[in-house]
Amino acid sequence: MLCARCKKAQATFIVKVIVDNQVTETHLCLPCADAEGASAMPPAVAGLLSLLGAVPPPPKAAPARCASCGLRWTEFKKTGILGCVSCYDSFAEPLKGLLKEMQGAVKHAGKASPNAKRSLDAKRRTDETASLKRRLDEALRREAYEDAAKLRDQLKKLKSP
Amino acid sequence: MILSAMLRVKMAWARPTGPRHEVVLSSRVRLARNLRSRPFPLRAQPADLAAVLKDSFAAAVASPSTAQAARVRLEDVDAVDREFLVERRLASRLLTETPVARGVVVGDREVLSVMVNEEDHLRLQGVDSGLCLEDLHAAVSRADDELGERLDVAYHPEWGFLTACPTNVGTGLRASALVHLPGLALTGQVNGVLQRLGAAGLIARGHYGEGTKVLGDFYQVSNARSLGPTEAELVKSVSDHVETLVRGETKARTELVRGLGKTRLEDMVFRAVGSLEHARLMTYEEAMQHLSAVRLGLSLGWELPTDLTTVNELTVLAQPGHVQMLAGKELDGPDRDFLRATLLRGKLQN
Repeated sequence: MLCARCKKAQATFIVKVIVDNQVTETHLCLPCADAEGASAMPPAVAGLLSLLGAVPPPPKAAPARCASCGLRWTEFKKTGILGCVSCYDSFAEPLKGLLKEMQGAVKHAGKASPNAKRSLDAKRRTDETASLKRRLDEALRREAYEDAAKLRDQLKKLKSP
Repeated sequence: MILSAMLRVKMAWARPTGPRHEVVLSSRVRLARNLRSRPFPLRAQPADLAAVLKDSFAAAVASPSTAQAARVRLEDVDAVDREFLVERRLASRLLTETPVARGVVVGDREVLSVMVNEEDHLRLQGVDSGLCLEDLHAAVSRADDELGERLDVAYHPEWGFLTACPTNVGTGLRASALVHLPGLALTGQVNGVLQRLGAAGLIARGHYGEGTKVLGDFYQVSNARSLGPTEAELVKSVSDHVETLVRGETKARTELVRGLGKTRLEDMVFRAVGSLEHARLMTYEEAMQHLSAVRLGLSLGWELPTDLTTVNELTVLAQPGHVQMLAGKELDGPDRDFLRATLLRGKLQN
């Protein structure tokens, strides 16, 4: 639907107004809604959409669609909503630029999800086990049996925490 | 059935017991989460949505924080009940307009709740009275960890929790406070104060109701960013800025009472009391305007025929969906206004 005010751009949201208890709906594009002082959209999303207008499209080499859900970059530009988790990989490059602009950062510093934490722990355990085994082999080669016994205890502990 | 029982239950956030409740009605902390294996709700097939709803409800039952919570499938309740959930801020428009395979989990006193298949698969939220963002965040984060133990939540080592809209990616956190700023509005400072918040990286927006005019000088203040700072840093930043707002509003109220405008202020508040006590027809907009004035009088310690809990609750109960819930059926405009005026009269003369 076209914007009811400028009649040129695509209307991106609906402004509801109550007059005498009658709800009237107006379909507006973002600049017109802003001009009317009626940005009913969450400001963060409105900001995202105006930024998206300025973000260069994904480079030619990059896929125009998400490999997993089929979302096009052009669709994302209209709604500001991605289709699935894989969109973050498919559109990684343009998204990185967008996040930097919008969020001022591209690195999460908060908590990790339990499954991510688990896989991190598992990885740490595997790495540590490998390192201990290496040192144990070396200790045995050197015939440093006291060290080897200590390392073996540490390995046992790691396997059954 | 569960829903009409909720009408009788006091909303936890309406009690004027929370810190800074004279200015801060309620605090809210929201976390957005998604399941790795399914498309985000707006692009998901019905079968995907149904699977997400089933898995989420099962995880909620198995998690200590949400085990006792009510689970409502939106397709199982009627339009009036859905409107009620929206006004209670337990569901969003998006959720109620396409109710199939969407749901909410509502905890004790409505403090903790989860929307399923909104813009993201899971939207966990905590709402309580006054300025209490840190405590709410702790509770919501605990529930999130418990659900995360049971669901395969989408998480990216660089970008954190992945969300449908990149404005939420990272922490998925939005911390907000609903503040009442009639003092700053009456002294003409409110726009300047809100602009400064914007410059500090926060979002301040009016509580619009259905229209575009700010209703009753209620504003929502929240963090704009979700990626970069930790959850604790984001929560603290919003909390600190709201504290500053509270100081400004308190100062403005003191000035109003002390100055020559006191009589004008009294006139406004007592006219509002008169209208609420005697009007026979009242629109939602007018009700909010009067309730705002009465709330200001009460928080100044004036002797008025009502109390803060009642006024806080009335800002919710006066909404169209709640009025219809009381009637038990859909009503057209004039009938709603009549029933609303009757409700307000009854509550104020108690």
